[in-house]
Amino acid sequence: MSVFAFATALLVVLAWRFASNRAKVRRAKEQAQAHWLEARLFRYPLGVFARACGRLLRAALAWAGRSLAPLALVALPIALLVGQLDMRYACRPLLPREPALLVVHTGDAASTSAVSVDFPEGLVSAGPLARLPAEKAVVARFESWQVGQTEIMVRAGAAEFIKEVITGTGFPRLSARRVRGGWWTHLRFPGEAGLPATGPVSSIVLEYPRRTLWIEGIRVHWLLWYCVVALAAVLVLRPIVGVEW
Amino acid sequence: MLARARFRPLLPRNAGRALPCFRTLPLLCVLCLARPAAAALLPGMGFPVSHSWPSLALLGALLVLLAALLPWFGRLLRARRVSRKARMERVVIVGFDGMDPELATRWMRQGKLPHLARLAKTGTFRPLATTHPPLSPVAWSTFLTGVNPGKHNLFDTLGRDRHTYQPFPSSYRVLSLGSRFLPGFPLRRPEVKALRKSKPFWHYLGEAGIFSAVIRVPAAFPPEPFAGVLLSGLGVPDLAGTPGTFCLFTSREAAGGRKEGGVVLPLVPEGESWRGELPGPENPLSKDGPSDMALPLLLRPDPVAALRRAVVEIDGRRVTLRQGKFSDWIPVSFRAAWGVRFHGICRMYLKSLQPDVELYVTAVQMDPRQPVLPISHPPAYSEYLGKLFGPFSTLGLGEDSCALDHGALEESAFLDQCYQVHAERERVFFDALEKTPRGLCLCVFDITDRVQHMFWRRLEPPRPDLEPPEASPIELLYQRMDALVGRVLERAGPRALVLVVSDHGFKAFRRSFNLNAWLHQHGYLALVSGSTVSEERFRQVDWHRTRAYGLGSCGLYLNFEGRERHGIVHPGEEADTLRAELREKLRGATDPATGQAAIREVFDPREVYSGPYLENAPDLLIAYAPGHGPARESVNGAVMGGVFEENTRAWSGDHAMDPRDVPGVLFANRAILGEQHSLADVAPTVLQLFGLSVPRHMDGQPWTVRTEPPPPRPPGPAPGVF
Repeated sequence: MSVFAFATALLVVLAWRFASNRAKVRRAKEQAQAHWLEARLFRYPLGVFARACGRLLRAALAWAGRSLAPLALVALPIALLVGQLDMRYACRPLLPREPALLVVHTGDAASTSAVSVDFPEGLVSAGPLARLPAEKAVVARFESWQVGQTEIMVRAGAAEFIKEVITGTGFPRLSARRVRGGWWTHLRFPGEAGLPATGPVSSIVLEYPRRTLWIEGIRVHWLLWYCVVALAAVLVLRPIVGVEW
Repeated sequence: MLARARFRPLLPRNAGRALPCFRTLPLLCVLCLARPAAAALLPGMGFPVSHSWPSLALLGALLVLLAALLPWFGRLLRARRVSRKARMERVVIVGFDGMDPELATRWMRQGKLPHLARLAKTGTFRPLATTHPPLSPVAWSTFLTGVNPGKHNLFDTLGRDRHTYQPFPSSYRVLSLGSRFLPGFPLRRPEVKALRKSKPFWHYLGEAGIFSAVIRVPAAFPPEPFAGVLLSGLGVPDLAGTPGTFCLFTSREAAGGRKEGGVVLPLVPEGESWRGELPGPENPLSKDGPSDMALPLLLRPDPVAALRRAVVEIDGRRVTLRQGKFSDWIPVSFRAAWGVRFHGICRMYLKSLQPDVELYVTAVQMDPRQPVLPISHPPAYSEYLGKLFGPFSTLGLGEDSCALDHGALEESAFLDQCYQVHAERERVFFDALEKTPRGLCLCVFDITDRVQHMFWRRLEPPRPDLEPPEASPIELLYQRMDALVGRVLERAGPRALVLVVSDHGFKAFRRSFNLNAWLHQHGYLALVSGSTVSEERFRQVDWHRTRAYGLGSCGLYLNFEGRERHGIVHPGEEADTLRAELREKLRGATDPATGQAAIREVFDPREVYSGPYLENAPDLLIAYAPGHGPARESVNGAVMGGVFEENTRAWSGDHAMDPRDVPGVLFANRAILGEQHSLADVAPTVLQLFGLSVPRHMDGQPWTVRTEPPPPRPPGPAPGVF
């Protein structure tokens, strides 16, 4: 993950280096700093102070505006990268014999009665399906007895849907949700193909256990560690690449 | 009561008594509506916050806000109390260093200074009596303190160390440039001590809650804390601690050497380029003791000679220079130790590329964004200005008259430099004016002094029968200052009192008088055996046989026993006799070339000064006659050359004369009554206008100012004839 964080930092500083006007960014930053000092220096009378605050706000916005071009350049790649990393680092695969829940969300309450779940060899149902019409959901409890990747078949009337299940260790790419929705939803949950827009099932969710990341005895979320490493790398790379922001 | 009654169900019984301010803050109560009361914050307070952390946070934020606003209210109340007594809400003072009343009158009569003429017609225009001697640090110190030099301790541009006889700037001393704790680790910041005594009048205003913005007033370095903002001017040294040392890089053979106010340095060929070293300040943190820092500089002329440009690489920056044009400010930094850098700025001017490469570099000045020494109060003020407007000249003497005097800059380049520096100061001043809708806004522009010093020769015809050249630089300068006054009047508005003052006037400086040479010639100053001359700083002076010596523009000192380290003149009768003898002889010093007296008067400081610092004054004050001035060598403690010499330098105007010959100017947009006005009167006048009592130690007398605004300006062009 640290390698990815470093790569992200490199991408960010390179984007700022080549997509921003350093002189103008420096000028905008100095203007914002100047108006911040102005607001501190000239607090009386109130009119002067209020004007200084107005200028500070304008200068801060202008400064932020100078970052829009490089930000636009890196926003999408970083979002995609974070999405991919989230599939590997947010959760861990199921362990053998570890109980898990599969939640099938339907478009309407009536459809919950038509839902059935077929577990392949290696997956064992741990109880009857719980149908929750009020929640428009069906919950299946199961255990995985076999390491590896397998697929659960969800039937809703005549329609059939597949949800992948991964059991084992390491950092495989996990898809916790298979969802229905537009491109934005698929961008957020890219692990499996989207559900048909007109089908009775709106999403199939497999609750993988959250992965615990321990850094020096402290439990941290992977995204926090990623951000810390990326920020540190940016600070190191910034003077080397010659970036102003 | 209404608010309290309305919110009673929400507050416990004693809420209003416990925190009466809540009655005026119904907003706070509204915020509490969000959560029902469950417990109290403090016993008896009864404010419902338990189980409601957002409410607690809001309460905290409001208390912080109240605490932040309290000083504002306090200041408002204090200012209101003072403003009830004040006769003016806003006073704007524009200082023009050296503006001459005779020249102003001449050009007002010719209709060339319409705005000043308008002030003269509807307000006030008078000569303003200056100080003994009429030198900028002395005169402006009197202006800002309202006292005579005997009370503010500045008597000349240079003071002297009684122990070593060495001169130093009279207004400040650098006590330390910092020291190190371990190799490379700074322990202490540089320290500068102000030698000017007595309190500037804006300190009294600040104590009364009246805001002041003070821009570049001479003798205000180092800046002293007060309730306002201040940017130091005349007196601020360059990064190396000198009053300003330019560099002239040249490819000429056998180049090199030091000149007054500058240094000539060689450019060494390196392929198609030229290499040099820009000298920096002394490094006080060096492991091997203090050593000079320098930055390598590479100059690469453009291969196409016709383009007349070159690229300079310095401190990791590449700057394109065009021949005959000044560059923008170039930031440079000198590394003193790990993590310690001295930040400076300089401008470059490519003089020539053929046949010799010549590059002029201004003195490396302190970067206002990160000054090595404090140059403003609060220190963040210079940072604010530097970030708002970009780097600007911080040097006391930003206009490099030495470079023009020594030929390192041509006249046109010097004027360019002067107006660039002036434009920066105007920007700073108008920003300060905008920030001071009430209170005092004061700025001194020194371009008037520099240009008159250097271009007086262009003002007067070479022979009396010839007409002076049309539109000399000084005339154009006065016109530009007049336009500036017009803008100030417009922005200040009719309710403000606008004063335009100068510290002294100007006269021609055709012949120089070398005081130390005269003293040597008459046997008062002795040189060590074998020497016929002495270099600057009295290097070859035999103090055991010297009875008197000259230092600075107007000062003559007796070598007093018990005061000077090697003093031989006994205080008392011997000293008085010597003093009288010197006065008599100097008054009679006649220039053989003109047959005129070179010295109009020799003043005894005991007759013209009073105050606790009288003992630091020179023992005699020389007041030169118009047309004469002090020889530069003598000013710096050299003993060489003839007593009388033709002044062939560009420095052709001066004011180190009898104060009666070089008064300053006083313009105002209000009528000021009375006939005699002096520079020392400004401070008490301003204090009185703001309703403050005048401190008893001040020598100046407040003027009677008619505070009603002048009649509105008639439509049409500004009056041109005074």
